[in-house]
Amino acid sequence: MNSTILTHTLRFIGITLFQVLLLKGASPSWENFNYIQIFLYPVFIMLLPLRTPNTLVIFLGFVTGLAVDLFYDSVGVHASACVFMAFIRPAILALVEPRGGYNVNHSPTKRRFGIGWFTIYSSCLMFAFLFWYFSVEAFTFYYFWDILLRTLSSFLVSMVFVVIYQYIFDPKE
Amino acid sequence: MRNLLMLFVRNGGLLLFLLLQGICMILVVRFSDKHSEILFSSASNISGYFQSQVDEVTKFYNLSSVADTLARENARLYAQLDQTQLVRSPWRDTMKRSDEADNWYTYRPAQVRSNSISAHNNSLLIDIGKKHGITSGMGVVSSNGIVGVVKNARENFSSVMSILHKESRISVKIKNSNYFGLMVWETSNPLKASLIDIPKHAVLNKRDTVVTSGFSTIFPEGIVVGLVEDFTIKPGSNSWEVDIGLTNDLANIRYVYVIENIMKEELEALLEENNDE
Repeated sequence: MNSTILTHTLRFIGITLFQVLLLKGASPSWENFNYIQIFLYPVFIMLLPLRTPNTLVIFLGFVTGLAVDLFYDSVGVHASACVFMAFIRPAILALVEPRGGYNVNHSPTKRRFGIGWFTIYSSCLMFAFLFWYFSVEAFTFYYFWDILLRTLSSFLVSMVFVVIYQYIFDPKE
Repeated sequence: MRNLLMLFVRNGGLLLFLLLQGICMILVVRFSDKHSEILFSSASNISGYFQSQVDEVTKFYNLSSVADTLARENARLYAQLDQTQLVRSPWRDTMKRSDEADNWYTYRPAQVRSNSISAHNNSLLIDIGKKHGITSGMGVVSSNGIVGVVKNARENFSSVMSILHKESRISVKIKNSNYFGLMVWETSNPLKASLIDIPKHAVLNKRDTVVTSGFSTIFPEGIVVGLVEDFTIKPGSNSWEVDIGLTNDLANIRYVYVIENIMKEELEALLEENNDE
């Protein structure tokens, strides 16, 4: 039990630092196309064990988002998107539930459920996260198509990082 | 109580989600100028929309009172039409008053385009100007009484110094006794004004009618201004201080008339001679 908490705490620190120190500066853009932002840190929320209470997941989402916000000078925006993603996590889990159901002692990882399942699961959450993030950032649906374009382009690049992360660390918990 | 607790347990996720989203939104708006600007402009858009809807409804609701005013106005004009003697109307929509004493006054109808009553110095904007023969110094009245004096006339619009202006001085008199004085506005109440320079030997009664004196070249004699409400005398002073209640509520005027005095130049030349002597 304690080792689980330790693992997740270390992952939280490592992934947040990686996000704000490296990925924040590495937003690929060329000419007038600066619609891509890379987000890896939502993986922390995605990988929380299945037995984590929903309220705790949401609360951790808030804390994670706020921590990233402090470095992005955008207090509240990441927190809002993270809270939303954490909130819909149970619904997404129910949606992609494998035949035979879940073992509550497992974590939703590539090692447990396979890369195909994990990609679908993380894609749903990542898309929801990004769409909410860019909506709150624009704060109006006046730029709906702009928001959608940012979401899609950032989604593709971010998902590459999410999948690579699974192959490098292959988390068990 | 137990049910309430159960509600929290069952919907804890949703409640926490809503709570934290609320906190996030507050943070977003608090810490980002861009976001708070968007919020406030959206809010004012929405409230502006509702305000205009409400205005539509109240405009409709007010139609009957506007119609009443117009009907009364028409009746007054018809009554005067019968007595019309002087027929020299250089303008369409122009009417001469036929009372023998002031048949040299011409009236031009106008609409109020902007109005204020709450400032120290109030003014109005009307929709006729130089093009229609308006010059500064002309009087402005409505069907309920006097409104002010034209201050500036531009091509199509004119600004009017309201009687609710600290520098407004209107020559008025008590209707029955003919004692005259100046009406000034020193309160900030748009329905109250005061009368100065009424000599202290004049006999005043509450509810005496105050009308324009006709001594200035601006307003004809006898336009009702208000009613005497209270009068006091300061020790050592030679004149009454009279509070009057105005009959004309400037808060809701819409249609006004600009008065031109055809004999103005002649009268003013004579007045000047008087002063020079």
